[in-house]
Amino acid sequence: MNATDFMKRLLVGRKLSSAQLGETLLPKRIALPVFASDALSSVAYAPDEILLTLSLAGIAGFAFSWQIALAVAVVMFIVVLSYRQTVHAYPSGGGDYEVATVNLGPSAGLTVASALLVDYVLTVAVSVSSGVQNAKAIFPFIAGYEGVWAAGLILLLMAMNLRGVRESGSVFAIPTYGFMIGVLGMTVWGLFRIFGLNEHLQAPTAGYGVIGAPFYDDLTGIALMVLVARSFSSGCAALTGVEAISNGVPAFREPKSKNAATTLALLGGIAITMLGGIVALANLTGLKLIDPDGHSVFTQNGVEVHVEHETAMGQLARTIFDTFPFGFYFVIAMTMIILFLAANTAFNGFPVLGSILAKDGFLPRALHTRGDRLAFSNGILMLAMAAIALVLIYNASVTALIQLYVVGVFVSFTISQFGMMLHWTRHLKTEKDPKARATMMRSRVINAIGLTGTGLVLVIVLAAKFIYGAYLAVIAMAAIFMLMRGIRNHYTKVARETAVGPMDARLLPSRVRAVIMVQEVNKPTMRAVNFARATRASSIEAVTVSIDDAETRATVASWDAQDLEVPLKVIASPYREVTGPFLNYVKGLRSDNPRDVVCVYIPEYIVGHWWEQLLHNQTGLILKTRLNFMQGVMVTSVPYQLASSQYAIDRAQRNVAAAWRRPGTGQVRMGDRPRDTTEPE
Amino acid sequence: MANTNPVLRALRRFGASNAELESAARQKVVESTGASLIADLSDRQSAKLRGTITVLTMKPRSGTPWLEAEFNDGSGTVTLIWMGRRSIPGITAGRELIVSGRVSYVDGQRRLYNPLYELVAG
Repeated sequence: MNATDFMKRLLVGRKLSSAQLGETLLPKRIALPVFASDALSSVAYAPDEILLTLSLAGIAGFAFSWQIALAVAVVMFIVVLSYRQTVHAYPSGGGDYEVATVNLGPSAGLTVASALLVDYVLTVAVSVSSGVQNAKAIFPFIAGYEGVWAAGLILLLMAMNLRGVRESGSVFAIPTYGFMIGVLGMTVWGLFRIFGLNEHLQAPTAGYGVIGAPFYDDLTGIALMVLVARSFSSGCAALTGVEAISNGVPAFREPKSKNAATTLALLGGIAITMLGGIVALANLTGLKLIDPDGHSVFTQNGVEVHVEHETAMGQLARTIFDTFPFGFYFVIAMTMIILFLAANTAFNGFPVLGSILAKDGFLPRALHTRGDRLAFSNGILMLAMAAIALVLIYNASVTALIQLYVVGVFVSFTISQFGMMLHWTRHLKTEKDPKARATMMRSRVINAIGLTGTGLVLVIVLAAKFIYGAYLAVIAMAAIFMLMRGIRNHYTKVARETAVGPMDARLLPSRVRAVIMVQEVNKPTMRAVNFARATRASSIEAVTVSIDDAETRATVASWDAQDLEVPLKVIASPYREVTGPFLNYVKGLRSDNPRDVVCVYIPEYIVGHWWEQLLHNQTGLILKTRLNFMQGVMVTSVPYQLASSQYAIDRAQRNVAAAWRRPGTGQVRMGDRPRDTTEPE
Repeated sequence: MANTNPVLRALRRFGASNAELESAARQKVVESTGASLIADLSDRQSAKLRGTITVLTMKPRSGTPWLEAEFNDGSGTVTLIWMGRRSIPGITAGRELIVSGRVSYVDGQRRLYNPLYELVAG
């Protein structure tokens, strides 16, 4: 085993055979944390974003926080209800993409897909960034290097996901449940202390006043509307991740649809409870946040002060568990971890969506292949790279990133709800059974409500966030849409071009002229000559390019001495190049008859190490590439295995299954060649 | 196409490919020797040519001895054939020659059987 293989196995684990695919199915108790960590974790930053947007209106703004939280909860309820219909109707895991494609056509499907791809990348970026921001409460040394830390964590997540979904599932279950226990426990304990014990709990920032931006000073009319809309759209980040379950139905155990629907309901209930609890506690303890971009500031006794504040979660945990430090550390640690794991939801969703798109020809086919561990490795790598770029550009600032977020998810919500309505309408046309009809009618009403709700939210989100960064997300979606359409067009064009017509398949070339490239007379050349002669071409000739007179003379002499039955042509090369004269010569052979085929035999040295590759075959390689562009020229590579090739053969033998997929070690693709075979010549 | 305008001529030379420039140079040498251009040859014409061997073929020993060379002067190609010989000292690929003999057309290709040849030094 060599070093790279060892490292890979250490990081990624042993290879899984295709037959082991079924083993990665998830029971509900694991599926909930795997698919729900995103939706749940947004509880950690959605209240923050609601509060700090409201802080733009100064201290009075915070009064709106519970109405906004309620609105978000209502939207969440509607969306969960609608998606329960989707997982029953489309259990194949295509999710919104499939719903839109089937009911509204490929363009709608592609819109959904590009929106979701963008949002998956943002999910990773936002969650990891938020985790890093929260981690600052425990590890202050992170401050200033948030982007780098976030990038490192994304790399770690990528490695875990390359191991495959099941392992990561059990790793992620514990902190997700820990987070639920932590947040719900904190809520219950906090409410008990406030109402049961009548204690007067104050958050660390409760004593400060807040001055907002002048525009929002008087909370009336337009300013109020804009502020509430912005705050609400930021809070809607809590909804992202709900669609992950509808994309992940195939990963559930049987009965898949029912289990997925139950998990979805659980997710909705828990997320709404946690969001409500945190906002309620924030109100009760007088918690305040300010805009990190400096549009609102803290004041103390009417004087501006600069205070570094923690996230809402950090402040609440500090206040409620003031006599119980373990609770504080537990909540913060779990929040931190679940935020990193939330990114994992995207790591489950993105590659699956990518592979479906690749299967439909919208993305490169490589995204459809499963890696050694049965995960869609290429999709995972792509997602990680895009997210790393984002966190480095925005230095892991949640407030900046969240402006781009949410648009995509609501685009896909809205389109897929519309698609579901059409789905039920279409089925109602043919359904006769009154009971089934009643169920479908009910489903259609639910999806209609979903459509109205999500459509409304989409408009609000777009209007509220467009100038603050959402336009970037829209541009990215449009770009991905165009790109995928372009890829599809290309694949379609190529397929049409290469399709077999009624005539051309039967047309044999009238003559095959064999040309053997000779550089010196040795075993590889002899093998090429023997092989070429055995193919019984119409005419056969060996060709050598004369660069050095003495060398050519030696070649010609030894050719003569071998007494081969093949004429040797020496091409003059006044400028000491091989490729040009050789190509010209082949071109000359070609122009005679369009139905002639020239077959060029190039002896090739097969070596064991990459550095040996640099020393051999360079001319042959260039010739091969150039000849491939000529009409009616076939290139046959005649391999000659040098003794050193044994290293490469051994390497390939150790990796029989994977060798074909790996570009670096695939030089020798003959895994089952016995070790002791010696060359016949 | 001879162009009298020196600027245009310079421009044309500038845009020409290496092969075109080379052909032009070779044809100039042919004209200075007083030899005919291969492109202008007609069947059964007796001619003196000056050019270089581009491809030299060595036939297998089993057949009739026969030395074949493709000969190019920048305007066209003619095949030189020396019967009864498998090689001739001094006739190598890339060698410049002055040859004379009678041109014959075989299968649309120009051939010169057993030409008199003169090796050009350099």
